[in-house]
Amino acid sequence: MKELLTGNAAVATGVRLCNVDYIPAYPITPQTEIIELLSRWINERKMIARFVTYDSEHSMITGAGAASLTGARTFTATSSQGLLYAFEMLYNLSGWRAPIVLANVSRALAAPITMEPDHNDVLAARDSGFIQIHAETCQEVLDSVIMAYRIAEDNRVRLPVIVNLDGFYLSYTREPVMVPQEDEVAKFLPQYRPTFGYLNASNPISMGVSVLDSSAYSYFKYQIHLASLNALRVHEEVSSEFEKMFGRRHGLTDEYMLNDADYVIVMTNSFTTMGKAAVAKLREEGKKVGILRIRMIRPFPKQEIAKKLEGKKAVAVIDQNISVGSGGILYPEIVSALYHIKERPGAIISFVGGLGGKRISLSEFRHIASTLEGAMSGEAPKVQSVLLFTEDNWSSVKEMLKIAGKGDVNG
Amino acid sequence: MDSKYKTLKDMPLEEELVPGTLLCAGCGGALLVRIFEKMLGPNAITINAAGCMTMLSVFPYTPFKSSWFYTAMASAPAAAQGVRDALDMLIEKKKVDKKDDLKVLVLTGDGAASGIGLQATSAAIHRGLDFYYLVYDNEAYSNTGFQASESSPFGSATKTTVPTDIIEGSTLQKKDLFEIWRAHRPPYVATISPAYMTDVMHKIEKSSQITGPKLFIAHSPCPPGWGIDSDKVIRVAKLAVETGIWPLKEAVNGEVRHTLIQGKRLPVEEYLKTQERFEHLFKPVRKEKIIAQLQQSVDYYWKSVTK
Amino acid sequence: MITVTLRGRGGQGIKTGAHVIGTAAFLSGFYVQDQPLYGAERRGAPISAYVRISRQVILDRGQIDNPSLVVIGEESLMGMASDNPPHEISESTVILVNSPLSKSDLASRYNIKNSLIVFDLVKLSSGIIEKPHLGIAVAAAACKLLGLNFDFVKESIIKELVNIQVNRDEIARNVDLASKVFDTISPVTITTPREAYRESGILEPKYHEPAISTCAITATGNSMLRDRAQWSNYKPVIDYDKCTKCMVCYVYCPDSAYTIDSEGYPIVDYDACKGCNICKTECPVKIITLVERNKR
Repeated sequence: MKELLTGNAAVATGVRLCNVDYIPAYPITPQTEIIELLSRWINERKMIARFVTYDSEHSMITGAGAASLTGARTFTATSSQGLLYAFEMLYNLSGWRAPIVLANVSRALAAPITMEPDHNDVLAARDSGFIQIHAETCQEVLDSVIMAYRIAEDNRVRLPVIVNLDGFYLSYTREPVMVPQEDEVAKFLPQYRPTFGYLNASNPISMGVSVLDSSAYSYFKYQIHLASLNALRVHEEVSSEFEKMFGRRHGLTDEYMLNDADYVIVMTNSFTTMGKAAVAKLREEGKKVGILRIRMIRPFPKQEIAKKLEGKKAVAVIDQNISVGSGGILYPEIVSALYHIKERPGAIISFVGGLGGKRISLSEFRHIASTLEGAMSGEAPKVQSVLLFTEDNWSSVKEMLKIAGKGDVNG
Repeated sequence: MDSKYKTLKDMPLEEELVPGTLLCAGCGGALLVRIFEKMLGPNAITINAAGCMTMLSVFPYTPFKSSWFYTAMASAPAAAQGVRDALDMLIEKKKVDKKDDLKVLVLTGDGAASGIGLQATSAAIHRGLDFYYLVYDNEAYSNTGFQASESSPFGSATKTTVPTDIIEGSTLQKKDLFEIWRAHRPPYVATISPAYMTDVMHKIEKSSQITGPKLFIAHSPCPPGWGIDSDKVIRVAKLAVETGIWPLKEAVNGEVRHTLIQGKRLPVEEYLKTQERFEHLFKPVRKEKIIAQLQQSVDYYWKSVTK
Repeated sequence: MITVTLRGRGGQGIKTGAHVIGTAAFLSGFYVQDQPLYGAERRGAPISAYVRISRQVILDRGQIDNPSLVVIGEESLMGMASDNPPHEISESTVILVNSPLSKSDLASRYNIKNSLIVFDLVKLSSGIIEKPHLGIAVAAAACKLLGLNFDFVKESIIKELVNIQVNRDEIARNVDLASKVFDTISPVTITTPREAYRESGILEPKYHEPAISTCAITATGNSMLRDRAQWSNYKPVIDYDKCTKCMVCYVYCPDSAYTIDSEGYPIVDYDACKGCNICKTECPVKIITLVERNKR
């Protein structure tokens, strides 16, 4: 059945369809609508699960991990500051191999504090051991939640999963979403029956113990890495099965006008939609530009990215985030994925844009396209990330600086 | 209440913790953990916050016959909530058999209880979580080498309150965790001492009849931190009670009752003198003001109890 | 480079001992590294500390596998099948041990063929200091073996003891004791050990299912399998003729080392006993005595 759903409602709907047992919660904008919906459905007995508000995200993630290890299918959601508040527990959950699903509604990090999205929050967790799936549309959000449990609970993986959606651009935006039938989802996603590590009286276990021996520590830590890498293969299986059952395919990456493109813009999340519009426009102007969207960020699909970008003239990576003192976070990962291929693109250029939810305008995409062309016609490629920030943007900031009492500032 | 545990001889003989841990010889906290595990029996899970007791299970060895779950310093009560809720939900959904249910015990030191984990504990009590909480109060961050915690007594020496010409040990008062917890009106909160084991057994027995938070603050002499010989642990714990420094009490739904009221209390210095962490109060010269201050606060406490 | 491993028990001042050696060598003009091994060390538990001394910049770090000199704080630490971490000792390693036993007795008891130096701290400290600082005493002995000048050793002891806030009087007594220990020990040749290198290929790890690859222990109550050194030199022995079966010793044992037999008598498992001696102090009829473990 097709319905108009916000990204948040799509998450909640996915969770309801997955027959989740336990939902530890803590409110934060722009995620809160997810837990509001879930708590209401539980109180209406539209789903049988326990909903508990914790005292913080740190406690919430701890409780989520503990419940998951006890055998409950567990869901939780957070955003931005909340994800960072829980940070040490993210690493613990992957170490415990607790297969929860966490929806992160991306929101830029303080300070300065703001509401709208960029990906410094979710990418801060990139080394934590959580699998990360980043969605572009509300439909993909719902589908990804269902797929996420299959991947998380697979014994070849057994790791927690983050499904990421952009605040505002998806979280509060309604668009048509095909909602799958409950019985079909039940067929696709069987009940959670852990074969290991669930806490109950018949299975005494000492869980999460300290490992002071450095060889043993190396072993356990690297196993988490191997489990994460397995998720590439498991994702492909799950993706094919999902397509067979529901008719929609979500790969490790997604592409737009990529096949015959000379120039490629690499992006993630909901801003890709605007990127597609810009590419269509640039194509009309005769520029052979295409888009590669990376959907799975952890494990990082290096081989697939290399395959898709091999032979292209030049690549732009738009990072909607900034690693202060380095530049875009995904850029070096893309570069390293391409280093060993035969027909490596002639230039790979880093752009940082969309910080704090700033829209990426057509002029910015045009600038990207011409920078790529320039790099191919002998201009020295930029070593540092290029900030996507227009003269118009500066004029408005300048105005605000004046009101804030900082006088006339030159740009 | 008619108790099964009238003398030490009534203590259950089955051990849930086997020997061979890496904990210090004579650890007062370890002794109470052992007794708790005995009293709770095999169908229990101990949820451990970072602290001395982290050393109980170090890969590949565990002393536990029952389950143990190591979490983080701030959030052991949150893990207890997750385990409890999951078991309740799964039993309700008939995915877990009732016989597989677990008693949940949170085990933390005073640093986690009074400081970094206080928020998570407050929330767990507020939600009425059905769990036991044992804090081994050794009055400092002992696992990291004995730095001052919010539970360190006034005047005591720790590695971060080293007495010098300028200060006489800790300048701050010990946080009153019993009252902080009691303010939540939990169904059961008690103080215990390893020197009064029948009292310990009574209190665990009594609390086991109650659903909801069952909270225990255990005076836990720490031989290396307090500067006492390991064989003196029980003696020192007993002096803390006999001088009135460590009152034995319980509060059921917030109503306080002292489980031991002595006719005459020993002077506090009888307790202080036994420990190197208070040595600077007596040597090279007696610090009368601080000793008097410590005595006064004990006297003041008991004045309100007896009236 | 000369390397020294010190072995003692938590609380005996082995870390300070390593610092004394390190500082004395540093004052003598050498490049030095010293470090205690932190981790699971606890009062009474065996612990180690390391010192590296060299005329050149030291290009090594961490634990020492094959020391020039092993300094052992007390005899009970000698017969350990392994310790934490295991030390490989080669035939060239010199062993220095504090023990009342003679050199030949120790050599035959522990089957030692290495060069062995023995000193008796109890005997040497009598009349000088009531509670000698073991770390200081073994460090003084080691410094003598290492050929360091006592002026530097003395300066080092004062510096390190001031650092850990020992009072002046105690420092003076420990210096006196150190001087006596220093004079008692006759020097031997300490050599640079053979490099402990073993070829081991790089393995490509396979993924194991979560039941294996999660940091959890599925065995229960297996801590007695730990290869434990003896925790203490002494063990509690019960005079069963006078035992009233009151169970005080059983109740107050923090380590579950006691069991109660079918007749109600307490039994101590000496493998499990850490020697805290709470049972001896608390026994209401005073029938528990301490007996030296290694006495034969």
